[in-house]
Amino acid sequence: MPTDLENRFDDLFRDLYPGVCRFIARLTGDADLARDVAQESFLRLHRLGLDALGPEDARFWVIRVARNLALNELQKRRTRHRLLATVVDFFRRPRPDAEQVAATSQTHRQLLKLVAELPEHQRAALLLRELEDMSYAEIALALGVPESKVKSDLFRARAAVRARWRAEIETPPHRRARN
Amino acid sequence: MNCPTPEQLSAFFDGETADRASVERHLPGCAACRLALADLRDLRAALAARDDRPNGAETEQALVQLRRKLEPSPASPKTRFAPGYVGALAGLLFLAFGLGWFFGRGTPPIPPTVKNTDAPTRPDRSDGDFNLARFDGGGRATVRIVKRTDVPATGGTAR
Repeated sequence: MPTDLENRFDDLFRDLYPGVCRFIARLTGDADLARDVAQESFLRLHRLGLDALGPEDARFWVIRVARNLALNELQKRRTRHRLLATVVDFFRRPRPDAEQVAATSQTHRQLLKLVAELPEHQRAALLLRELEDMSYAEIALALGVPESKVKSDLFRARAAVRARWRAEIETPPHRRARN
Repeated sequence: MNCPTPEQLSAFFDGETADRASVERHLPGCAACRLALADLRDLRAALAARDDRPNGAETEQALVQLRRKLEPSPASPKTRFAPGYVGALAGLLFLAFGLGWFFGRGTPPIPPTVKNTDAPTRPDRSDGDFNLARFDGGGRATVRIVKRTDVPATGGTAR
């Protein structure tokens, strides 16, 4: 018979698992890896015991553990170059659903490609801000860095994407092709 | 007010700036800052456009898998080992290896002597009271101690 703690754990899983999967998938470009590390993170949370953390802390804890697991796994594979290619491929991959294909415009795809090329720590901060709607303080907790670094990473990420994006759209197509 | 820095504008966009009012007053008269904010909105829209989170059914399936992993694996009584038994077994193995090492260390195995007949040898010299060492070229010396008046004794091997 499930205890109250187990029920709370299940509810937390249902609440957080989809977001953790999306965050890791966007971070690494590997949706399968994202599901594996998300599940492993919850497994570790269960072993740690939900009582050891508050409900909000559990969210940051799971994100932090999932990110570390994902990065360790990628490091093991020594796929820094492959990672970039995979991420780019992930965002370029055509969606099977026609409706979603239409929703993701060419502009969006180009922006996502630029996001995929950001340094990992900047991308992590940006994804947590834009996808998980976390405040700077929450991102700092999830990534284990000071709030000032979150602010700076977000600004740098946006500035980098914007600079490259502007350069692309303001360059005439014939010159872009030559470059 | 001068244009906010890109860092200030980024924080303003996130609702994380203390001086929100002054940026809001600045924006209507500054096309460049409005364009910068529009770009940030485009980026946010691009990231949020595709919801690729696992759906409810996939999440439930993942939860079932997780629950299976959390269940203790059913082990048959024959194969189940209590931690105490495992520890005792490890201790016995350790003791056995330790005793083996202790009693075996005094008599290291003697490598077989292979005489290298091709190696150059130093000629025997008998110009003293004793025959001197004869080197076999393999790092070993055969010493024959022979008194001039004695019958030649059997050779011994010195290492």
